[in-house]
Parts: sequence; C-alpha cells; structure tokens
Amino acid sequence: MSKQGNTVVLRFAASQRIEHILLMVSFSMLCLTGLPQRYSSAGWAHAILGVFGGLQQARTVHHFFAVVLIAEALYHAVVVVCELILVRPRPTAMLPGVRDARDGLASVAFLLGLRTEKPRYDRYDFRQKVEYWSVIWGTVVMSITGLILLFPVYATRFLPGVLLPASKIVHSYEAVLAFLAIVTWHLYIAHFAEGVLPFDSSIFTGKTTLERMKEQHPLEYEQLVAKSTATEAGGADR
Amino acid sequence: MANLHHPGKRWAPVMHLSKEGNDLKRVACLCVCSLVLLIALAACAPPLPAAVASAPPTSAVTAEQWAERYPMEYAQWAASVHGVAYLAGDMAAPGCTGCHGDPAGGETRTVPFRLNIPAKCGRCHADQQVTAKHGLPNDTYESYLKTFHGATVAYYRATDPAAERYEAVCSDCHAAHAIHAPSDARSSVAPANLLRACVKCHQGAGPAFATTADGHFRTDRMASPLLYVLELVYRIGIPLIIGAMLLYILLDILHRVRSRAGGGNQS
Ligand code: HEC
Ligand code: HEC
Ligand code: HEC
Ligand code: HEC
Ligand code: HEM
Repeated sequence: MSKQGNTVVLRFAASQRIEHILLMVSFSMLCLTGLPQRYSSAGWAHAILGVFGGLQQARTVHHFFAVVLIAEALYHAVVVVCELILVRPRPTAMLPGVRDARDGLASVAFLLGLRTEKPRYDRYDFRQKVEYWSVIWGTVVMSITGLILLFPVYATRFLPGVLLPASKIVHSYEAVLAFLAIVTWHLYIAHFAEGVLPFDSSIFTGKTTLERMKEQHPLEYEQLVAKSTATEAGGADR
Repeated sequence: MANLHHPGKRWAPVMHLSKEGNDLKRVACLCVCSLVLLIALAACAPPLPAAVASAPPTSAVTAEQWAERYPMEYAQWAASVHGVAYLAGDMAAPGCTGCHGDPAGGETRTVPFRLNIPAKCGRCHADQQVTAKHGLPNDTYESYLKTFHGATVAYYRATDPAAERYEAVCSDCHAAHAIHAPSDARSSVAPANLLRACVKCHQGAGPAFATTADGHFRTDRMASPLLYVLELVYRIGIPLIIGAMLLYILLDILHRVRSRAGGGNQS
C-alpha cells in the first residue's frame, strides 16, 4: 500500500501545463500593468508603472499580454470543443452540476462539524470548478471590455457611446474582483488547502501521487482502479 | 505512469517523488517573499505633489492694454463666460493672467504649460467657494481626472512634466478663450459641436463616439443611471463574493486548528 501510495500518476498533460504557465504569466502581467492604471494617482502605482518605464510603456505591455491571454483563451476554447466532440467517454469532469452545489453545502457542514465525513470528490472538486469557471467568466468579460477600450473609435461605429464608459467601469472593477479572487481562492486551493500546503505542484510537474488522488479525488481514484483492474484482467475498455 | 488521457493504457512503472518537490517549494517561497517585498516597497512610495496649480503672478497690465496687445484672444475672452463675469466685476473669474502670465514670455507654448492646464482650470473649478457661489458642479476637475485623458495627463504632470503628450486637456475641448457653458450653442462642447472637438485628434470618429463622456467621467445616478447601477453591482458584489471565499477559508482554518487541538488524526 505504501508503495502504491507513492505511485506517480499523470494528472495534467504537457499542453495543459503550458496553458497554465501562459495563463499565469499573462494574468499576472495584466494585473501588474492594469491595476496601477486604475489607481494611477497613488504613490504605489507610480512605483510599479515606473518599473515599466512609465504609463505609456506599461499600457503597451498590458496590450501585449492581453493578446497573449486572448490567444490562449481561444486555443483553450478550441481544444475543449474538439475534445467534447471527438473524445469518448466525453471529458466532462469540469462541467458544473447539482452535485457540486451539494458538495459545497456538505463541505461547509463538515467544516462546521455538522457532518463527520468529508464529501467525496471526483477529478475536480467544487472549489476547483468555482475557480475554473470564474476564470472563464473573467477572461470573457475582460477581453470584450478590453477590446472595446482598445478600439474606441471602431467600437462606437456599431455600439452606442455609453458602452465605452460602461466597459471602463466593468473592466476596472472586474479586474479588482479577479485579482482579489485569485489572491484569496487560488492561493487557498493551490497552496493552503488540506493536503496541498504549501504548494500543489501537479500543475507544473503534471504529476500527482495515487495517495493524494485517493485523498482528494476519491471518486476519480476508484474509477481509475476499476478501469485498470478491468484492463489487467483483459477486459474491454469500459 | 498512468495516463488519464488515454485511460486504456496500463499504469507505468512506479516512480518516487524526488527532491524536485522541495525545489518547487523553495521557488514558491521565493515568489511569495519577493511579492511581499514588492508590495512593501510600493507602499513606501512617496505621495504625489499637490493636485491643482497655484495662481499665476498678478500683473499691472490693464484690460484695455491687453485688448490692444492681443485683440483676437481678448475678443474671444470678453464674450466668454469668464470675460463676461470678469468685466462685470466678478473677481472669481479669470482675467488675462488668471490662467497664464504675460503671453509675451512664450510660457503658453512650452510643454510643461500644456500638462499644467487642467490644474490651472482646477484651481477655480475644484474650489468649493468658487463653484458653490456660481452654481457650478464641484467635481468638474475630479471627473476629468477620471477619464483616460485626465489620468494620463495627471500622471505625466507628476512624473515627467517635460513629456510631450497629446491627450486632451481642458482647452482642447473647451477652447482656451472662447469658453462658454456647454448649453450655449457657441460652446465647442455643445452637443452639436462636440464631435468636431474630438475629431481633431480622433480621426474617423462617428457621432456615437462624442457621447462617450470622456470629457468628464461621472457615475452618479443623475449623470447616468446605467453606469450608476453597474458600479453599484460591483461595489456590492465584490465584497459579497470575496467575503464568501474568505469565510469558507476561515471555516477551514478553524476546523484544522480544532482537529489538531483535539489530537484528531483526520488528515
Ligand atoms: C481660462 C484660461 C485663460 C484665460 C482667462 C486667458 N487665457 Fe490666454 N491662453 C490660455 C491657454 C490654455 C493658452 C494656451 C493654449 C492655446 O494657445 O490654445 C492660452 C494662450 C494664449 C495666447 C497664445 C500665445 C501663443 O504663444 O500663441 C495668447 C496671446 C493669450 N493666451 C492671450 C490671452 C489674453 C489677452 C487673455 C485675456 C483677454 C487671456 N489669454 C486669457 C488660457 C487662458
Ligand atoms: C480664476 C478662476 C477660474 C479659472 C482659472 C478658470 N475658470 Fe472657468 N469659470 C470660473 C467662474 C467663476 C465661472 C462662472 C462664471 C459665471 O457663470 O458667472 C466659470 C465658468 C466656466 C464654464 C461655464 C460653466 C457653466 O456650466 O456655466 C466653463 C465651461 C469653464 N469655466 C471652463 C474653464 C476652463 C476650461 C478653464 C481652464 C482653461 C477655466 N474654466 C479656468 C472661474 C475660473
Ligand atoms: C488633443 C487631442 C484629443 C482630443 C481633442 C480628444 N482626445 Fe480622446 N484621446 C487623445 C489621445 C492622445 C488618446 C490616447 C490614444 C491612445 O493612446 O491610443 C485619447 C484616448 C481617448 C479614449 C480612449 C480611452 C480608453 O479607455 O482607451 C477615448 C474614449 C477618448 N479619447 C474620447 C474622446 C472624446 C469623446 C473626445 C471629444 C469629446 C476626445 N477624446 C477628444 C487625444 C484627444
Ligand atoms: C474631452 C473633452 C473635454 C475635456 C478634456 C474637458 N471637458 Fe469640460 N466638458 C466637456 C463636455 C462634453 C461637457 C458637457 C457635458 C458633460 O458634463 O460631460 C463639459 C462640461 C464642463 C463644465 C460644465 C460643468 C460641468 O462640470 O459639467 C465645465 C465647468 C468644464 N467642462 C470644465 C472643464 C475643465 C476645467 C476641464 C479640465 C480640467 C475640462 N472641462 C476638460 C468636455 C471636456
Ligand atoms: C483580456 C484582454 C485585455 C484587454 C484587451 C485589456 C485592455 C485594456 C485597455 C485597452 C485598457 C485601457 C487603458 C489602455 O489603453 O491601456 C485597460 C485598462 C485596464 N486593464 Fe485591461 N485588458 C485586458 C485584460 C486585463 C486583465 C486580465 C486585467 C487584470 C485582472 C486588466 C486590468 C486592467 C485595469 C485595472 C485597467 C485600468 C482601468 C481603469 O482605468 O480604471 N486588464 N485594459
């Protein structure tokens, strides 16, 4: 058991790990060059903008990483759609369901001591789904409003003028929301949650251990075991 | 290695986690430490210089003399809100040296003067006493600073006063001397004339562009109900969402402290 417990399994493919790095770098740089613009009269904002050589240069960097982020988001969308169409069984592990709401409530009940057992999670638990779908929502909103701000003359050929200040408000507040959500929630699930403290390295190495999988994603673990025994016994793929 | 993406494959040979895990921890530590350091450094940054400009030196030149020296500027000014008020004896309105010194000095053509224009107008238009007495809004200057133009100009005024910037300052939209209330048809920012002011710099802009409120950014209920509601949604939504996340994390921390104290062997 202890030997099997340390068995390393692949959790994330290389392409997924690269996606994570792209997202991490572009998002961090967008925060670093965007948020000081929002608070551009504050001393700390001047300090950060100064690192980039000034406001104008920081804006150029912001636009560069915006292109990186949008490209990565489009790539992700294409891959997900292709996988949903082509791969069987359908890779639906990230889709939210009633189960996640129930898991969420059960998890709170467990933490409050109202329940003795932790909810049993599949490949992605509800906390990870909250994060994933927040990122999807945030990226869509930031990209649309950002592009409107980037091409104001062009955008107002088709859209009413008030959409420009509206985009500015949404872009500006959504950025604060995204930044705070990452600082609290992502730091929590990737660095602080039970079993991962101080750092869940699987998104960088692609690897996790069976022991960890059994602890954090028991349903996925059971399916994997069932499948592999079936394969070992010479059974069919399902 | 078991490959979850190709579930048919067998599990690969057993691999043991190496030192690699510790290296990653060290990198993570380094990142967090440098982030904290960066935030600490940024927090220590000095505050910004005063927001509005001081009054230009007064001059002994009389109105008649100015009219002789600069007939065109004088005529525009004399017909403007400022000139009408000033000539009627309102000392709160700017005379010829209310916004700049003697133009003969060439001051108005220098780069720092341009970046300073909003702060010069702001001297009066952000002054509670002046605006209240004349029934003007007090957030004229502040709402300009919230626009893309205003934020950029204010940034360079504070960090690099010699920077040559082309973002609109007050006089690009309102004109320097022929200034009228926006409701006055003679005003360059009257609805019928506004697009012409934008197109000077924004080539190809259509009528909708002029309604983007980039002269003064206001989100109060009176100025724009849509912007007001949007801002309200975020002001309420952000604390709710982040609060819920923090609450969950707090519950987790408390639970872990309790189960450790209870000697429980739960994890
Ligand atoms: C409300 C502020 C304001 C007042 C009041 C004002 N000016 Fe000006 N003036 C400006 C600004 C801003 C500029 C520079 C921008 C420009 O030239 O359009 C300027 C530029 C000028 C110039 C151009 C100098 C050059 O080198 O081309 C002259 C001349 C001038 N002002 C004369 C006057 C006279 C005469 C009066 C009084 C009748 C007066 N101004 C009152 C704001 C003002
Ligand atoms: C010395 C103070 C002072 C300065 C400097 C000044 N203003 Fe004014 N401004 C006034 C006063 C006072 C009034 C009100 C005049 C009245 O209605 O009798 C006024 C009125 C106006 C109005 C009309 C507002 C309305 O709705 O009736 C506009 C527009 C305006 N100023 C723009 C500017 C701009 C642009 C500048 C800078 C280039 C500027 N002002 C600089 C004092 C100043
Ligand atoms: C003196 C020139 C000038 C005038 C006049 C001017 N602008 Fe601008 N404006 C600029 C410059 C320069 C930029 C920055 C463009 C860039 O960096 O691509 C800008 C940017 C903008 C933006 C982009 C904001 C964003 O968030 O990306 C908007 C919107 C805008 N202006 C609206 C207006 C409107 C509306 C008017 C007319 C009422 C106007 N401008 C008049 C120079 C001007
Ligand atoms: C990009 C163009 C633009 C610039 C730059 C601009 N304004 Fe305006 N301003 C307008 C327009 C348009 C209005 C009328 C509608 C509104 O309030 O947005 C206006 C209205 C005003 C009014 C009437 C009262 C009020 O506050 O609405 C004053 C006074 C005024 N501006 C002063 C200033 C001063 C002072 C500056 C510089 C600090 C400035 N403006 C910069 C376009 C501009
Ligand atoms: C996804 C693509 C994005 C695009 C196309 C984009 C584009 C822009 C543009 C055009 C501006 C206006 C200033 C300028 O011209 O530079 C801006 C401002 C800003 N951006 Fe972005 N951006 C994107 C993503 C992000 C992200 C992910 C964040 C941070 C989470 C962010 C934070 C900000 C902030 C805080 C501002 C200042 C807004 C203000 O003035 O109040 N942006 N962005």
